[in-house]
Amino acid sequence: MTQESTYSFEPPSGGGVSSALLHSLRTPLNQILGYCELLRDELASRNEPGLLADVNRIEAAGQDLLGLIESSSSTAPLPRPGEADSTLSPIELMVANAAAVIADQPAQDDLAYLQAYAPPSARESGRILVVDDKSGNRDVLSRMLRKQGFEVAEAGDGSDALTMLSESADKGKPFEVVLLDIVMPDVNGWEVLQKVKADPKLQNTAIIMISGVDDTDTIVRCLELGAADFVPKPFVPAILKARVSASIRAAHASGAMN
Amino acid sequence: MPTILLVEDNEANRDMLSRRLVRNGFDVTCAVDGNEGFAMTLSGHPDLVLMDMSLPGMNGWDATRAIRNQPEIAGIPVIALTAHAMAEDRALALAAGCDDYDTKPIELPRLLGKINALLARNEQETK
Repeated sequence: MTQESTYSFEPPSGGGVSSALLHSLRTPLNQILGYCELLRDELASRNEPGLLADVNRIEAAGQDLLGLIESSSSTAPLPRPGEADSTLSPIELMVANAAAVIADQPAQDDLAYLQAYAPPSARESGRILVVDDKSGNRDVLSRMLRKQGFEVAEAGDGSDALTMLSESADKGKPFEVVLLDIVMPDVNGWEVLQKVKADPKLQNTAIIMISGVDDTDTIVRCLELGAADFVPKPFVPAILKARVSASIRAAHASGAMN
Repeated sequence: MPTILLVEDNEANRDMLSRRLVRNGFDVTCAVDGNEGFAMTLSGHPDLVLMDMSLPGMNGWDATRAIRNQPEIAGIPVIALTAHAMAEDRALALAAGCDDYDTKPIELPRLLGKINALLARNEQETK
């Protein structure tokens, strides 16, 4: 891991989560869901589609998290590394994402923050496609990148991603970078990576693989198949920016040569 | 307008649920623990009590038993609200004298259905 966890999450030995912890987790979520409903009622009589869409997203994320909490309370053990798409359980990953967003506030003279959010230079600016089947992960990553000054589009599965990549290349405005989740249903990250690398018109598009699994074999396989880089979840904003910028510089350089 | 007493210790839950009930045409008052819940049921004679079960001081089960043991308010319907859908909670709530039972997260249409059914039943009985 490239960073230390800043939160603690200790499931009890039985494999499930204690009922007191579950209660503490559910209560604020239920409040968020309840207030979302109130807000939606309120917004029904007003014409504010953007705000309504945000409320719906918050509610969907709340439902997702509640579902994860409910499933972790069952007696079934949490998925172990190797079985899941992450070395972290879904709840741990969500907590880590949330911690990253919360921690992602400017502190005075915080060099890492300044580096993470300095506007990209012209040779580092580019269009990025974020591909992840989990809307919460996609949201965290896209927000981070937009805040860093990149132009970001999102795809929720592998085949959508391939369509978007192909269409944008046909329009002469290809994506510079794809941030690609590995474990997705239907067309997974490996397949997307191989198809992009086999497509001559996408040769200047750099692929950065993202995954909660950061074992050596996975990283090596990504790079062997033609990925430009690998970024483990949860994301560290400054590292993410540095890697994306480096890939964009490389893509621009190779584009200039061709 | 039917009156509902909401007994709930968590401030945000209380605020949220009472606002949703007011929007649906109820007159809502709130109590923050079991003792206050019982006292306000006795003094205010609401048409129905929504009782959180895990409350500080006197819990929801004990408050419900206290209401049932007080003849002038013993007939007021009580709906138990609990955070987890566990069979034993339901049994405990019903054993304490609750008329019905609902789990959080509150699905308002479902809860309103239970509230209205109990209010209708009580209206029948008092006729």
